[in-house]
Order: sequence, then C-alpha cells, then structure tokens
Amino acid sequence: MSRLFVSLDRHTSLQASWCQPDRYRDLFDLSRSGPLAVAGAAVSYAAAGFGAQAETIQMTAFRRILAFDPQTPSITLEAGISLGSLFDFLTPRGLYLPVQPGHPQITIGGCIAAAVHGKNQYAEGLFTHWVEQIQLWHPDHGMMTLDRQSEAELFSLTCGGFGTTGIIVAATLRLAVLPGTELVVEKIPVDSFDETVARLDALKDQYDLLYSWNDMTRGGAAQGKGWIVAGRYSSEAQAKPSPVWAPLDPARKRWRPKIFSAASAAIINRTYAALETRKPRQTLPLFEVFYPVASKPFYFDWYGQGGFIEQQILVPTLAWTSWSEQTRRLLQTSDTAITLASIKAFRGIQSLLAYDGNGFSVSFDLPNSPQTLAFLDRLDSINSSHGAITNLIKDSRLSAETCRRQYPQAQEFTDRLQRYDPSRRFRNALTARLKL
Amino acid sequence: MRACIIGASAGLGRAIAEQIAGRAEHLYLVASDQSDLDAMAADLSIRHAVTVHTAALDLRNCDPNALYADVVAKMEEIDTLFLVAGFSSKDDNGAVADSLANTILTVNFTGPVRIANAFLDRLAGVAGANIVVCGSVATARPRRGNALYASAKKGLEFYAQAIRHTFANINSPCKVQVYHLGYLKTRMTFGQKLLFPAAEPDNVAKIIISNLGKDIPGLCIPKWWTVITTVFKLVPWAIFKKMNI
Repeated sequence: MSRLFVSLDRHTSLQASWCQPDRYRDLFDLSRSGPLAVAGAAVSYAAAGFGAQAETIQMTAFRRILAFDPQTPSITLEAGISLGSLFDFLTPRGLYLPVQPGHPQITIGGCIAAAVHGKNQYAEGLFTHWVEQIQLWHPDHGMMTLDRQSEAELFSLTCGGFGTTGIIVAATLRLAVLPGTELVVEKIPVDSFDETVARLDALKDQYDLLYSWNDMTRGGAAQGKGWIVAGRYSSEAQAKPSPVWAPLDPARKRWRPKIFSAASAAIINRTYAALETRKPRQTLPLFEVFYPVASKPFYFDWYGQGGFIEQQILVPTLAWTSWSEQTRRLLQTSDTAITLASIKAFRGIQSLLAYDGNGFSVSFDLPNSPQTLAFLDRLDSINSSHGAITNLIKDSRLSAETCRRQYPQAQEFTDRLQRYDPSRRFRNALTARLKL
Repeated sequence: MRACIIGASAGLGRAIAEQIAGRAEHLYLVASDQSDLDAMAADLSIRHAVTVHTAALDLRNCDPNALYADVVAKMEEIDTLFLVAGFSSKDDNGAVADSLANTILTVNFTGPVRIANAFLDRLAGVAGANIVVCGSVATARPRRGNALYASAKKGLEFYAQAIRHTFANINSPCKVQVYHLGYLKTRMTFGQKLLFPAAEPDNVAKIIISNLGKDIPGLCIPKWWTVITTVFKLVPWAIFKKMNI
C-alpha cells in the first residue's frame, strides 16, 4: 500500500509504500525485501520516516511495556510507544523521563533515532543519555542487543542515526524520580538577544526548566526582546491527568490558513508578548510543561500549505557574540521574518551526527519562502564559520556540504554505517539529502 | 473476571484484552505467535496488575480439550470466552488451494467452534458468564468475493445462536453475544480498497465489553452496517448476480 507522507514542516512530501505491522512475524517478514525506512509517529520536522523507493515501516502498533523496575528505576518498552502513553503510565508512579521533546505523539524509537533533547538539555543531556539498551532488528543481522559495553559502535550509530542501522524494536531506559507534580514558572524579562544569553548563562544551574522566547521582528537594540521561562518543580497539588490532545497529521488534507508570514510576524509577536507578559508567574501541570505543542496543533497549520522551516543552531559559547552580531545584521537586510525564536543552554560533547556540545541552542521558525531559503543559506555560512552546528532532524533544507562542514564526523558516520551494512537497506529522505 | 481470548495478539482481540485487563483478575490469551503473547502478557500485567497466562496455538491443529484443561488449571475458573480469531484472503473468490481453504475454515469456523464446545459445560453453570462470538457482516448474503470466509463465519454465528438456544432452554446464567462485525482497521483490511469505512478496533472493543452480560442474538458493529446489510439482502437476484463484489 502506498500513501502520501509529508514532513511536519511541510517542506518535503512524497508518495511511498507503507505498512503498519502489528505482529512480530509480520514485522520481520516485511523487512526482508527492498529498501526500508522506519517511522514512529511520522511527525519529525525533517523527513526521516520516509524516503523515495523505500517502504516505510510504521512502528506504532509495537507500543507495549515489556519490563518495569520502579526501584532502579528503569523500563523496557517496544519502540512504538508514545511519550504521552508513557507519561500516563509513569506519572502516577512518581517517575518520569527527564528528556522529552514537545509533543506526546512522538515515539521512543523516534527519540532514540533522532537523539532528541528536551526543555533543559544543560541539566539532563540528550534523550540517548538515558538509553541503556536497544533491541535492533536488521534483515541481514537479525535481532541484536546493543548497549554501551557490548556493541558500543553500533549503539552509538543507532542513537542519532536517523533509522539507518535498522528497526529499533525495543529499548531499556533509565527513569528518574519525579521531582514534583507541577511546575512553578516565572517569566524573567530580557531586553535583547544578547542579554538573553547572558541571563541564561547565569541562571542555567538554578532552574529545572529554562528557555527563552524572543521577538526577532523588533529592530535595533530591542531585537530579541522577550523573556526567559524559568521553572521549578513543586508538589503543592496532586498531579493532573493528561488532557485530551489531537494527534498531528501533516499529510492530512485540510485547510491551512497562512497566518504566519513576513508581513504578519511583527504584529503576531507583539500580540503574543502582550498576552503572555500578563502572566509573569504561573503554575503549570506537568503535561503542559513537557508537551507545550499538544495544546497548539494549529501552530504548524498556520504557516499555510507551504509550511515553514525550523532551524536550530548550537552556537559555541565563545562564538556567541560574533555569531549573534552577524546573524542580526543578516536579518536586518533580509526580506524574511523569524516568527518564533527561542534559546536554551547546552552542554555536552559533540560526536558523529549528534546535536550536542557546549553553548547555546537557538531555534528559529520562519515561513517557507524563497526569501527564507536565501536567508538560511547565508545563515548556514555564518553558522559554519563560527563552529555552530545545525540540528539535522529539524532542518529540511540543509545541504550535504553544509552538514559535512559543520559535523566533522559526518564522513566517519557514513563510513561506519557502510561497514556495518554495505547494502544500506535503511534510508530515508533526510539521509538521501545529506548523503549519509 | 477470568477471561480467555482466542485471537488475542492483534486487532480486535488485542484491543479487548487491553480494555478488560483493568477489571480482570486473570486473563488467558491465545494466539499463534508466542513472542506477541509474551509482549502482551508483560504489558498487561505491568499496567494492570492482572495475572496473564498465554498459549501459542495454531487453530488448524489445536487440541481444544488440552486448552480447556490448561485454562482451568491456571485460572481455576473462567467466566468469559471471547472468540475473536479471524482470517480472510483476497484469493477467496472461487476455487482456492486446499491449504488456504483449510486455514480459512479452521480459523473462522471449526477451530472456534471446537474450542467453544470444550468450554461449554463449564460456562453453562457459571453465573455472569459470557460467550462472545465475532462473526461478520459478510454473512448477510453469499457472494463471490469471500465464499469460504463468509460461509465459515456464517457457520460460527449459526453455532453460537444454537448455543444461545441451548442455554435458554436449560436456564443457564451464561449469556451469548453474537456480533456481525463490519470492516476493522486491522492487518486483514490493510491496503484494501473498501466500500465502507473501517472501524477502529478500540471502539469496537468498547462496545463489545459494554454489552457483556447481555443476551445478543446478532448485532452489527458499527450499527450502521444494519442498514447496509439490509439493503444488500434486498437487492434483486437479477441485479445482484451481475455485481462484481
């Protein structure tokens, strides 16, 4: 069977064959023929779950808990289980996964394959830091058990390997004791982009949740004016059950009004800022903190049928001042507009294709347009010249050349993959574009 | 509740198992593949603290009496039997290979009937007991597109209705529920161009579970299939014989 696949940013779409096995024997039978792509929820920004000439295996029927140890604490799960489902299981038991991307539909397998990060990477690291073991299936190698000791190389290729090493069937994750049942969140005003980074740097050891919202449509010294969202866990109230949320389906045909554009960005940012600054301190339920996008599915649709581009850039701390100055100068001469900007503090060691390192991670959302693409091409150069790296799972238009300039071990990743799987059975639109 | 589900590892059987696990003390799951059953048993027991027993059986050559003995040995008692297993093939439109014919007939008819038969005496005497039989809307009228499947399901429904009569006759507390299921979003319909929308197994499971304890001689799920099957039955033969369905 074939169906239309569309990346969350709507930049990449194609018709591809697709299956959704719900029994192990079907899963292993299907994976014996032709090139394959693996999808979890199929809602990644860039097209990692489908590819030309590849049959997509969607893993969402494999969503069972296989083992659970509340003492360690750890859990073994099939890879198609969603973060939301796991949240519903763990929260009443006083446990949680510290690293979670922003939507409950995302699967564990997707989190591993994309080596995602959460709201406070500085404190918690990448999702893959919490992965202890992976059950990986490859038609030529069978079922393999990977961990950092026994299959270290394949483990590191699979964590952040964008599904190229095989099908992640199950994984064992370390858990943490939930520090509270809600978060008390305050908004700390900042007057500029650079002040944001200075304040994040000063606050990064003090809060459980820390990221910024910046208005990049403002000009001059006020560019980047906004606030830092700083939160601490609290246990004053009982944990609230998850609200009902609508699944994302970028391939679904429906009306998508183009609300966000270069022309409307300024007024939307000002309006949003005016509304949000009325709530300088809030107590938020855990679900809303972990999955802020769940209550705003319209956000992605409001870029119209043409969609948007998200670029997430990890800028080394020492390069910040120069990078920020050049980026803001470029923005002033550009015809596009950044509709959403946010910064987080990061720390870690970059290796292979992992979006990791020491510095500040900046996210920009922009309406997809020729002006935006031209702006991002020039921003790529600024990024590369400052040692910054682009998050590969977020950016649908990054070139293979830029990827290799920014990720010194990209070729090493490809070489290792080639040695492990000379036939390269697993591929997708992202790996094809980046020539991985 | 102490329930046994035949065809428990995928589709509707899995949805029923997931939804009743919260109120069951013991579950006995039967399916063809042990690895699926192991995953189901782990998940349900971790989430719901229910004791889950499993048996990997091929309905084409199973021993119903051995299954019954194992169910009783492990759960001590059983009050609900779900006969959910089903199998169809797009090749079922005329003469088919004998092995395929045998699979369709045993999975949809003789297998479930033999299992129900083995459990019958026990269930007849249990207060609050249920036998849930999943037939098909395909039994509404014979047609070329699923001759063996529809015949087998019709046979199963006929048998279930006969049990219902038997239980009524002896004032048994066990209730029989017979369903004519429409298309479900399962592997059986995946990739097929269907005339009507397929229902989510979770939604169908919800209806089936809410009907436990009732006497149901035959109910279409979703209900709108009642209209379609009625119209289907009323199409004059002169027209029906020319329909390519």
